[in-house]
Amino acid sequence: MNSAVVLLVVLWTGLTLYTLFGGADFGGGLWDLLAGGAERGKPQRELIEHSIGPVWEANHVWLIFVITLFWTGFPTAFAAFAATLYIPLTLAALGIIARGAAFAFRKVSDELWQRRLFGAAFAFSSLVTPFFLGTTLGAVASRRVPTDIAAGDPLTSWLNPTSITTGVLAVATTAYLAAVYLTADARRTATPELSDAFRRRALLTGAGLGVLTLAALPIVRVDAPHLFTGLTGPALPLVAGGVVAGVLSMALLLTRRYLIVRITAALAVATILWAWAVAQYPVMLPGLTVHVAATSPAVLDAVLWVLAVGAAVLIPSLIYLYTVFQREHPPHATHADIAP
Amino acid sequence: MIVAAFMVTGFGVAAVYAAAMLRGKRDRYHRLGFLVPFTVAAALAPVQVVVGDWAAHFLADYQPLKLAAIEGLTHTTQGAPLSLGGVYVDGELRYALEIPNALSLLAHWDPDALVLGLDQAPADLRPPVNVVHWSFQIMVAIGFALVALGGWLAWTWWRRRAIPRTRWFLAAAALAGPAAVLALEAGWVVTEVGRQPWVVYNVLLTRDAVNPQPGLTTGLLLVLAVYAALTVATVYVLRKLARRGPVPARALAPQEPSTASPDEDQTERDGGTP
Ligand code: HEM
Repeated sequence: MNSAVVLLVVLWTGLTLYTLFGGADFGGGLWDLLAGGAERGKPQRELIEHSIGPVWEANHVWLIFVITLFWTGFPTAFAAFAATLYIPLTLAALGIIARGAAFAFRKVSDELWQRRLFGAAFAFSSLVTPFFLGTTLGAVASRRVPTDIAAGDPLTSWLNPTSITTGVLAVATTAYLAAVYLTADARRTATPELSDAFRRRALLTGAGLGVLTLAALPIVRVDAPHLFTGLTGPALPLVAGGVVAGVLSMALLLTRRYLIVRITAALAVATILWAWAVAQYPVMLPGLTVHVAATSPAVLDAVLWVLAVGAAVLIPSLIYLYTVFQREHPPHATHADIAP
Repeated sequence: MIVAAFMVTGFGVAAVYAAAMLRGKRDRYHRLGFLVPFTVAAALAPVQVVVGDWAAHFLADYQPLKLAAIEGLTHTTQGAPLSLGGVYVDGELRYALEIPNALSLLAHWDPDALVLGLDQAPADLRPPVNVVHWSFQIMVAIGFALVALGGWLAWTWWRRRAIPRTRWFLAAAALAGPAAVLALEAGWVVTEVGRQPWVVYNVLLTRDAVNPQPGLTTGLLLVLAVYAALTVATVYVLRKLARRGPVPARALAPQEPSTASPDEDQTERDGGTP
């Protein structure tokens, strides 16, 4: 494996972590939206707020990580990607900004109309942001981002069957992951009704996600034949692994194994993400392979060294952050994070 | 920038307490709230001067055009003077106070060194001089003023372990917060406007770096609208928090676990009084 491939693996690991952590974070916002009226939805909103609260910033660091590595490691591909897809990327950026601000503002607002306003902004941006990010993945997967800067269509590059599918899949994934994680969080805080409510949602969205993924296959076959060939070729073992993990997760939810299901649900999502990478490898954009898109070896090696040193600091800190919030048990205040 | 960021934070936080102390709140809480961030920021102020000097040396070697704009130096000059103030009209810096040979000395450690002027580049490849020159003057003036302010506290602290008695000190400290922000913004103007029309010096022109896709202006307006709304909301929320006093019950950062009990929460959320 040369440096370019190593960097790609690191980048994809970052994207996976963003999907698993940041994704669940968005999903929390979605359940906040669907929790019901101010009174009825209050316990759920509280659980979500306490679950996301300690780690919501940490979760979104992964996106910055991915974007920074993308433009440092593969500048030509990044330039083409960002220039053609500037509309969904700008909308996603606005969504992330509005979401974080609204979440923080709501926490300190005490009038109902304000909590509603900020809450609505938080929930709405939680819904649309993963959708826009998802469409950009579909744009790349269906080869609609040409290598020349801004040569792609500013609209149809991300408003097309594959992109809409990946956008919807992204939203469904966030909802599913959040429901799975929150099920265990609710149980730990000794609220069986809440735990059951989220279990129901996890089952529903899990089933929905399965159906959506199946429905996506014929769309991809027609709209993105290369991807389909890859998914049913070299990536088939990963696709199969994803299906197994998905089915297993449903069984674990039915038997109330809430902690193990966090792992299998995360695995199901992660394997599909990696299946896409394998299906497309080594092509990044039409006519541009990973090796051609990679920056000079000197930069690649320097980046990899920096990453190694950074990881030595970051990984223990993150593990510490997550365990701290999984351990503590204050009497009233619920707590905990959304991570597995 | 890191040093500048710490200075802005330190002077900014201290300014809030300085303003409160001016209104007569001189208890231990306010004194500490002032002294801790102020000390950190004031200790960094001289460091910022050194860093700034280092940045100027860097410019002399790698972005001489920016340095020429900062100083309003039109012609490549041996033993160039340092210019304070002045306006740049018709290709000359007028009404400036000149310190002979100081620029050559500062930039190259040699009073007779050659400093490249704006004439090193054709007219259409030069940055706008007045904006850059004045932003630099503002930044540096504030930088030295902040060093002086820190020195003032250091002096009275050394003599009698106390904050200066006069209200002028607190008034200046209250001003130091916004002033540090101004210096920071001015610094960015120097860096970014001073590099124009290049976005990567001598490699890529800003106009060639712009995304050729249509509709970018709409995107910019949208971003401005969102940030305007966020600014209003931030000011509103901060004022609200400030009115609740030093340790408000619900003023928790979103990353802190809430300690409010469920029933307290209830009344607050309904917007009513208990
Ligand atoms: C008094 C001494 C100071 C000197 C000699 C000085 C010098 C400089 C120079 C030459 C630059 C341009 C660097 C470049 O374009 O590469 C710069 C940028 C900048 N300055 Fe200053 N500065 C001083 C004080 C301050 C203060 C007090 C602040 C803020 C609290 C500040 C904040 C900045 C910032 C934010 C930038 C742009 C970011 C960067 O290029 O790193 N400076 N300064």
